[in-house]
Amino acid sequence: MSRQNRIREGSFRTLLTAVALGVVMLSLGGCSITHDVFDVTEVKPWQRGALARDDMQVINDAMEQAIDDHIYFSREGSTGGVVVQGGGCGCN
Amino acid sequence: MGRLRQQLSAASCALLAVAVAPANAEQSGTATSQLAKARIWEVDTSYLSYRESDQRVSVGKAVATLVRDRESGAVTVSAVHDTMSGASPTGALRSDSPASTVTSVSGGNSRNSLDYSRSEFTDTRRQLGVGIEQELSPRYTLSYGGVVSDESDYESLGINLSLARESSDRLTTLTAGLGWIDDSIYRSDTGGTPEPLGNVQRPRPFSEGKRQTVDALLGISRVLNRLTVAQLNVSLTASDGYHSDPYKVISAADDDDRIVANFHDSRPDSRLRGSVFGKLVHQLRDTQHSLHLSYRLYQDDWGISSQTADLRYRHRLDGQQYLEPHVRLYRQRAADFYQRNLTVDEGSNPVMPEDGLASADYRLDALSSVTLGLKYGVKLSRDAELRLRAEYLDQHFSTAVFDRNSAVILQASFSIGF
Repeated sequence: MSRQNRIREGSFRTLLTAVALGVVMLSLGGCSITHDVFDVTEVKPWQRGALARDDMQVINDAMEQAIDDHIYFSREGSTGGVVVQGGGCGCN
Repeated sequence: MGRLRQQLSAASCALLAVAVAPANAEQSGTATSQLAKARIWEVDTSYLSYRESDQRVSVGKAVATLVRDRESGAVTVSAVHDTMSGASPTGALRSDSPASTVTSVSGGNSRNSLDYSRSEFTDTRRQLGVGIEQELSPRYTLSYGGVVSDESDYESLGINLSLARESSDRLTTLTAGLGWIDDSIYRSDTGGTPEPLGNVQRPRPFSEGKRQTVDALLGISRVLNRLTVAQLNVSLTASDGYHSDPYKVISAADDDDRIVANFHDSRPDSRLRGSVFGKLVHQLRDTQHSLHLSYRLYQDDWGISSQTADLRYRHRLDGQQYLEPHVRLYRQRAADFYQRNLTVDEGSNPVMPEDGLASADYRLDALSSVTLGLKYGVKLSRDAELRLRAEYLDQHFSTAVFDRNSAVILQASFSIGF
């Protein structure tokens, strides 16, 4: 691996670490996100107001999802996993 | 091509029939169905500009989606029109020597240049799709649909079917889906495909390539608490047929990158792909700000494995507006048969791969990719929304001839319900 590629590899790892650290910091920073996320409790029908909002759906913008899938399908070696795949393309 | 145009026309008629049929059914409905007639139409339109640096590929994408939402389900009709142009890397090494010849990529013109590592092209792609969601019972929902797509060198027809089952407490949803895709692949100039690993200067055109793909997905989503939803998908995709790229080539060159010859791309005739995808959607306590965090682990039998992490944070500015920063990280290992170039022996003869497989397509190289983006959304009225998005994609490749690719993505979307 060339020196330049090692540097890129290092930069990517640094970015990954920064994101992971950011999540941990948020968790410790009084937001208690991890506690809130994994605190599994029974949810009554009248407690689902937040979950009914558009932005709380697992796919909240189907058009954007389809467009992004297409972009990354045409620029990366792997694809799929989110929804059953649609049509292909001869993307250059 | 003509065949697909007919299919597109037939599909258009079928879509119109599907969209109209429920309306007729409703007109003859009972008093109950009249009461349940919460008929809602939604139109979502979007224009996206994708521009790579160094005058590589540019794409203009227009999308229109029409959704008719009813008590018992929904019908979605979508149309996509892409215009693509630019100079795409062919896989050939950069060279000032006229010894090598590479013909251009889809819809392109041969170019009188000494460097064949990139090739100019223009193309147009049209796609038409329909999706129907039908509530079979309060707990079971069936979804099915089809997509046809047409460009100067590619035709694709896909159908899909999935069944979702909600638990009695409506907190867990199980989904099973199946998809089938039939693709036809050919060069726009010859109408066929080149001989795999054939010398580009002695072309032996084969017939058009055919590929069938079956996609299976099992998913579970679960409400963890009143602020969080989790999703886990496992998917398996098997494809059989022509998988090479009829425009990509690989150079055979000596240690100083002097090209001896260029050969056409040659990939396996099947591919098995598997992935595990997990997602968490969470609303921050005492706010209306939400997080979407996802992770995908992917592996296929070409030797490519990848990891993708994606984080979106929607920050509500007020009741009408939001900002959504986005970061996506991706990395992959190279395909087993990926090579930057073929080597030559002491007699300057190309050393051909024993298994007959070789590709220098940069997308099969080891790569890392970062996307940073920001979206702004505003409700213009109760039923109308405007969304603006800007993203920057930066890719680094391990050994590919062009070891970097960056792109700016701009998108404007407008949706309205009535």
